[in-house]
Parts: sequence; structure tokens; C-alpha cells
Amino acid sequence: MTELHGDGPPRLAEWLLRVTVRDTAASDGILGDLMEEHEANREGSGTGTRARLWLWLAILGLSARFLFLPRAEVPHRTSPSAVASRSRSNPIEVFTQSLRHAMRGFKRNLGFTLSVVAVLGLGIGANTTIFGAVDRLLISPPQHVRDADDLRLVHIRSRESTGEMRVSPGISWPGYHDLLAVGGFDDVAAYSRLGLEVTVGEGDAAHKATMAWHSTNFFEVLGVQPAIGRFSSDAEWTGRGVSMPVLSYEYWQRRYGGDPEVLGRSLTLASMGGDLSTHTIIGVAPPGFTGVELAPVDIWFTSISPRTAAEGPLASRRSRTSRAVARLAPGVTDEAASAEATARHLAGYAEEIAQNRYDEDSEVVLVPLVAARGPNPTAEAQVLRWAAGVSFAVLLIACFNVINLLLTRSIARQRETTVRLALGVGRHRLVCERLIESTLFTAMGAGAALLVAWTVGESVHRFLLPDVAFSGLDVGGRLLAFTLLLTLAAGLVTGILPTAMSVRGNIADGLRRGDGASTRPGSKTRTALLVGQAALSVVLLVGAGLFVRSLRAAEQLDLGFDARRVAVVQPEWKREVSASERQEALDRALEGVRRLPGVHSTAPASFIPLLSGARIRPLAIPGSDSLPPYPGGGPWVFRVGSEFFEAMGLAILRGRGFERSDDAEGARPVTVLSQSMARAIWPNAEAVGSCLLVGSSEEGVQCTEVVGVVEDHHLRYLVEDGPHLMYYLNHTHPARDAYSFLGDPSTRFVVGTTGDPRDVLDLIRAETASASPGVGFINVQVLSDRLERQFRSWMLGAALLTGLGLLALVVAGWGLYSVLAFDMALRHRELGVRSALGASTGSLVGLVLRRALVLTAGGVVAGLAASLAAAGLVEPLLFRISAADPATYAIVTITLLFVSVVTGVVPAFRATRVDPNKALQVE
Amino acid sequence: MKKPAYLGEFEHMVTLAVLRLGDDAYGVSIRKELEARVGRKVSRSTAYITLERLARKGYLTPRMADRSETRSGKPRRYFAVTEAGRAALRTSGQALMRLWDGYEQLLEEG
Repeated sequence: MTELHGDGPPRLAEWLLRVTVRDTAASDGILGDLMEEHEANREGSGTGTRARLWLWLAILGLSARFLFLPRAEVPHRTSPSAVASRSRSNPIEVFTQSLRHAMRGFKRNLGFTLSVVAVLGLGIGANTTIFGAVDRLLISPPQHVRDADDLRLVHIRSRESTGEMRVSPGISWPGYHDLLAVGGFDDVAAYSRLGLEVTVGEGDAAHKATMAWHSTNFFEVLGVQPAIGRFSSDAEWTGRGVSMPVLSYEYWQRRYGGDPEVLGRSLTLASMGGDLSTHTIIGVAPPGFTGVELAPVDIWFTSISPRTAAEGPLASRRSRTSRAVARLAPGVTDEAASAEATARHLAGYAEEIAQNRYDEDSEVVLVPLVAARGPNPTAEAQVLRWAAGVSFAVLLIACFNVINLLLTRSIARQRETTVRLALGVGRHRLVCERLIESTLFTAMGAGAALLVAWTVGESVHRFLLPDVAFSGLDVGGRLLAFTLLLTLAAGLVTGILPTAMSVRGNIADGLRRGDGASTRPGSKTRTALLVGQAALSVVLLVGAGLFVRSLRAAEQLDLGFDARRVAVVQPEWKREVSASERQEALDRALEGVRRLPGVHSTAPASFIPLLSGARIRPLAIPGSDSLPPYPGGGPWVFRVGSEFFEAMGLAILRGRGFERSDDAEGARPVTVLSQSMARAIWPNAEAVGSCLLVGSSEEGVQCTEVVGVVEDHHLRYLVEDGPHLMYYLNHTHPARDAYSFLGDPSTRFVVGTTGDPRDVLDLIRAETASASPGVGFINVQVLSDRLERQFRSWMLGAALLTGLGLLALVVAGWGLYSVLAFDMALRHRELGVRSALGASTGSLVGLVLRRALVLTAGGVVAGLAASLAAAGLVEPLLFRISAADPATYAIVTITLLFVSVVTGVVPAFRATRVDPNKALQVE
Repeated sequence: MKKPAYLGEFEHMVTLAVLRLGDDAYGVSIRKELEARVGRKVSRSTAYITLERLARKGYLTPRMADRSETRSGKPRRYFAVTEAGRAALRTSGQALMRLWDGYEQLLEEG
């Protein structure tokens, strides 16, 4: 930084004056004068700071005045003619003068400037915002990783038992040891799938966090440095169970408020079995670090060392729960490393291959970190492609609009241009001015775009990609470069056409025509641009309409049960709580929750649709060999409490549901079948009253009486192959002890509510906690929340396209308005003549509105045609709605025509107010 | 025939101030002189730009003094009115006088 060193002038100030005054003697004289005044000031005021501030302000003020001084005023010892000739030939001079000219123009037409900047800002802003997400997902290497280009994810390509080739990141522990022996790798680290859940703390303080485990050399292989504290090292590894947790920066901020004293504190974890373990926090990862993948991780656990022997549960080559990331040794190619790793891999699996239990053609595939996210057609990548396409369409609309505005203005400035050409200003100079002007517009638009990206970018990213960790908007080099590129492109695109139109043509003609407003050059181009805007808006709005209708169709889909009126409670029990204690606690909780306001029924359930699915279990039917094959598969079995069907809102079609007496001691085992199951087994007879043989021959087959038939329902997904075969056993069915597959119903129960379950979630949690002192953590959620991910693609499509489609509509409507208004201004005289000849108000209004409707209709036809052409692309993304849905097309058409009439109202009103006398006098 | 040179209002004022200050006419003293005589604040940048313009037109001639002990060693840049400057002053002054002719009495009466 430049300081006022002693009594000398600041060097920066000296340089600034020299550059702006452009004459050394003059600038030295001025600086000397300033220093003289500064010295006097300092003596007078006694405070150096104020005097320094005064000096700087004076220098900056003088520099600014000299900088914007017209060339002829600059103190050069040159003749005016030499200045003029230089100004023609010196590109820098032409540039600065054009810049000044453009800036003056902006100030003169502030409204026009602001509207162009706003339109470009939105267009570029939409793209910049989306680019941030594209960059994070598909372009950027993972943050904080050293030399990410040398890292490879290790995947295995092998043939499945179904005959299908599959590339999987799963590696067994012995398989990981095989990789460690590969000479082409510097080192290999193991880690788990990201986003595993863990319960941290106990009692009221318990909360869920996401975690990942890794080998001791993980951070070393990635070359990451901690934000504070340290990472684990292999040297301190003493055996399994040592976890040395490292917090993510975001979790540290969220849970500990960024307290540096967090190091050395203990972290209590509850495993699924209820075991509590305590670990000492050793470090905090740098902000935004998510390993080599993108999902957010709260806590990193060191759970294994490369030295850990492949024995016990780790000896299995079939359990492929690890993932591996390798750093290539210097100079080793991917092919060489992959060939060597494949050889090691196959050697390791020799025994399995010999027994024909493993594919002998398996190979190790090395995937660069960034590419690993690309080729998989994940939902995220799909959404991003959509978002990028839609935002580009918005930019196109914005550019069309700005071209139209600039064209309109260039026509208005035609006389000025002609006069300047006649005065000898070169065409190249005019071209330069116009291009600089349009580039300046886009540059200001880019500023607005960055503002848009900075303010809403992070929320948009979280909305688009909720499973990806974003740590604030990274306005880094790439984002700025992208914005700059887009800005230059938009500047050229929006500048070229208006520039070409404004400087072409004959000067004599131009001068003869007078004010230039009697002709309408470029009117076809402007009409075409307008039609283009309307067409693009139609495409976006049709897309929005289709996605909105898909979302509605999906939301209204009858799943069989009403997921929006069901809450699911999953208590996690501590290990010391015995099975009977759990059962008692659960019974108390079920009773307590049932009495809560807004709750009508509660029932334990071994499995819950959408949440945990169910298990397939074979069974026998007296007098029948086997069940007929069924498209939806099955039979799936549930063991549920007596109020299960009420709680889920499933209708009993025949017979009855379960009753409390079914669970009484000594009661006969009973079952309820799904409608499809009943029909599949007894197509021509009544199922109720029949017998189902549940169990295997070793355990003793139970004849279980069918007491009712319940309606079909979905099992896991919104879209399923067909109705499933499903049967339900009463809660205390004797098969429960013999078959662990039936699950432990004490781990979850369903709550049927009369209103929105969200209103009572806290009450349910509190009631369950008070009834069950042995519970570690209680997870309560609304069943419909499980559907959110399945709704996401339509929700995103609907939100993105509706938001951007409406934006496009506003921009296009405004474009139409400006063109109409300008047309009416140009036709002022014609309107005057018409009015003088007795044209009625209605006919004048009709004249304007007809033009608006004709222009829009052209756009609508083009847009509908384009939408129909793209229907095939969109169809697979929609839900139970045709991409050529007539209702959507009709609504969009009506909307566009309505907007065109609304935009035509003001110009039409103006047309009726034309005074024929004045209009004719002007000429 | 060469067109007679006229000075703008502020140019006129600055040239007169330089003439009055004689050998001591440099940026700071000229501004002080103007402010004292005219009784209004004179913008620093306007003053310097006008001085440079007058120099460029050949009405003033700048001269650098020796390096100074004060002013951070920066020399003063003195200005003197050239013969062309005096001529322009005369022309502009006479034009003003002619314009004023008869008005003083009118203004006093009004």
C-alpha cells in the first residue's frame, strides 16, 4: 500500500497525476502546489490524518477531471490539427472517446439504460447462477484436494449373475489389499459411501448427522490440510474402534459455533444397536471439503488402517462395502496402472473364478474424479442439463429483446448518425461506438448478473441439488470467466445487428428524409425477433404447464393409502433395554400417542410402505402347487398391529381388518390379503374364510385364516410395475418367533392423523419419549416426505420452467409493448390523417390491437410447432400426461394472446389521442 | 485577416490575476488572488485546466523555478502573460467595455 512517507508526496498520487495530466512539468507543478497547501493544512489543523485525507481527495478530484478532459483540452504541445488526426488513427483515443460518448448517452437515457441492463442482467444472471452448479458438479475438481488430476477412483467392471455388465465402486477389503500392491499407484485410500447417518449425543441432545468412514491414509492421499487441529495418521493407529473424528467445517460452525476449543472434546455416538461410544475430536476439515465425492459429510471417522488384516468379517471378498481412491505414481499412465491393477484383482479372485463364482473378465476401471460424476445419468445431471437449457433460452429471449430495443433506438438516432457521417466521422468510428455501447450494456448487465448469482445463487443451488454440499457461492475465476465470455458474446450478438443497420445506407438519402422517422428500416428484423421471443416464451410456458400437470398428476395419484395423513415413528433403543421392556414401552407409547388430539389410530408395523418396503416370503395354499407369477412380484409380507389399516387409510373391501382380540393369547392366527393377492389365488372363489399355509415345513406350517381383503397399494415407488401380491399377519402371529424375516415391529409404528401430521409431530415425539425411557433417539416423520425425492424431477421442472417461463413472458410482453409503442410513434402522421378522415376510436384501437395480435399469433404458432417437435424429448420426463397435451397448449395460447392485448392497450390509447392538427403540422 | 482573439470569462479573470501577480504567479497564488478579488471559491481543477489551456493557446508562458526546500522538493510553475495574451486581454476587455457602455448608468438608475 502506498503511504505518505515522511513529507514526500504519495508515489501513487504522483503517478496518477502524471498519467492523467499527461505533461510532466504541469503535473509536477500541480503536485508541488498541492504539497504546499497540504503542508499549510497540516500546520493549521495539527492532525496529519485529516490533512492526508484532504490531499488524497484533492489528487483524486484533479485526476478525475483531467482524465475526462476532451483531448483538445489536454496540455500537449501539439497543434489542434495534429490532435484531430491522432484521434482518428489512435485506437486508444477512439476507444476512450467512444466510451465517453456512450457514458453520456447512458446518462441521457437513464430509463432505457436501466431496462436494457435489467433484461441482460436477468438473462446472464440465470446462466451464471446455473453455471455455478454445473461447475461444482461437472467441471471443478473436488475442493482442497492436491493434484486432483493424479487421483483416480477405482471401480470394478464385471458381469452380474443376470449377464449384465456393471461398473461399481464397491471394493472388498481383500480387494483393497490387492490394490495396495499395485506399483502404478503411489498410495490407495479406502472410504465408505458418503452420507451414512449416525446418531450423535443422547437424550434430548441427540441429533442425526451424516458421516463417512475412511482409512488412516485418506487425508494424506488426497493431500488435504485441516482448517484447525490435525488429521489422523497411520502411526497412531492401534486397532479397530479407534475413530479419531474430524468434523466438517460446516458442522463445526453449525453445532459448535466455530469454537476452536472443540479440539479434544468428546463426541458420543449411538450405533443402530444402541451402543454408545465416545471419541475425541482431533480436527476440522477445510470449508467445503467433501472428500472425492459431492455429498455433504458432517463427521469423518478413521475406522480402519491399510495395515488392518483381511480376516474375520473383513476376509470376505463378496462384501464390497469399501470404495477406493488411488494416486497414480509419477509417469504412470492410466492404461498401465489399470492393467496392473486388473491383473492383481483377478489373481486375488482366482479361487472364486475357479469355482465359477466370479467373472473372469472383470477389470479395474480408473476414473478421474471429475469425469466420475459426468457419464452417469444421475437425476442431478439430468436436472442440470434442463436448467442450463432453460436458462440459455432465457438469455436468448433477453438478447432478442435488447437487439430490438437497440434497433428501435438506432432508428430514432438515424438523423444524428446521418449528420455525423455527413460531417466526416468515419463509419468505423460509429461502428466502434455502437459496439462499445452494446458491450457496456452487457458489462453492466454482467454486474447485475453477478449480483443476481451472489444473492440467489446459493438458494438456487440448494434447491436444484439438495444432495450436494455447497459452501456459499464461490465467485471464483471460472465463474467470472464464464460470465465475461457470456457478456462478450451477448455484447457482440446484441451489438452487431443494430450497428450494421444504423451505419449503412446513403447519407444523402438520410438527410433528405428529414427526421428519419418516416421510414421503418429493420422492421422485418424487429418483427422476426419479436416472433422469436414469443415463440421461445411459448416453448418455456408449454414446458412449465406440462411439468405442473405432471406434478399434480403425481400428487393426486392414488397410492392406496394417504401418505399425507400418516406419521411414522422410529425409536432407536439402547442395547441394555430388553425385548420385554421395549414391548411395554411401545405399548405405552402407542396408547399415549393415540390419545393425542388429531390422532385417530396407531399401530406397530414390521415394514412400512415407501419407508422400508416389505419382504418376499413364499407360502403355500392348500390344494394349489404354487402362486401364479404376478407382474408386481411378491408375495410381500407385513406384520402389523390391529389399527394398521385405519392408520394408513386403507379400505377393507371384504371381511374385516385385524382386531385387538386377534392378538390375545391363544387366539387363532389370522391374515388379511391384498385385493390382487386374493384375486390371484382364488380367482373364482371367496378368499375370506380360506386358509393360507404360512411357514416352512421345519418350523411347522400354520394354517392362517383369511379374515379380510384390503385394497391394493403401492409398496415403494410412485411408479410401479403393477399391483403386488401382499398379505398381512396379525401382530402376535406365531410365525414371528420362527421367522426373523418378519422384522421387529418394536422399531417403528404408524400414526394416522385427521389433519396434517406436522402439527402433532412434536407432541408425538414427546409422548413417545416420556413412554420409553430407554430410547436413544426418536425419528418422527411424515410418510409423504419419503415421496419428496420421487417428486423432485417434476417439482424442479415445474418450478424452473414456471419461474423462467413467466420471466420470459414478462420480457417478451415488454418487448412487444416497446415495438408497438415505437410503431405508433412512427405512424403518428398516418394516425393523424386517419383521425382527420373520421376514423372512429374503435377502429384506431383495433388497428393497434390487430398488430399486437398478429405479431403474437406468429410467435404462438412458431412456439407451438417447436413444442410439438420437442414433445418426443420431453415425454419420458412427464408423468401420465402427453407432451402434446391440448389443454396445456390451449392455456398457453390464451395466456400469450391475453398478454399481447394487455401490452397493446397503452399504445392503442395513445393512438386514439393523436390530435390530427398537430400530427399534420409536424410535417 | 486574422480573427481577433477573445478570452472566456474565467480565462479573462485568470489572465488578469497572472498579470497582477507578476513574478509571483503560480497555481496557489493565482487561486488566492482570484478568491480574494472575486470573492468566490475557485475550483482547483478548473483553475489548473484553464491555466494549461491558456498556456496551450500561447497566452501564458510557464516557467519552472528551481527545486524548492519545501513542497516536497517540487518546484513552482510560474506563469507570465505573453504578448499574445496581453493582446487577447486588450481585445476582450475593450469588447466588454463597449458592451458595458451606457449600462452602468442604466443599472444604477434601475
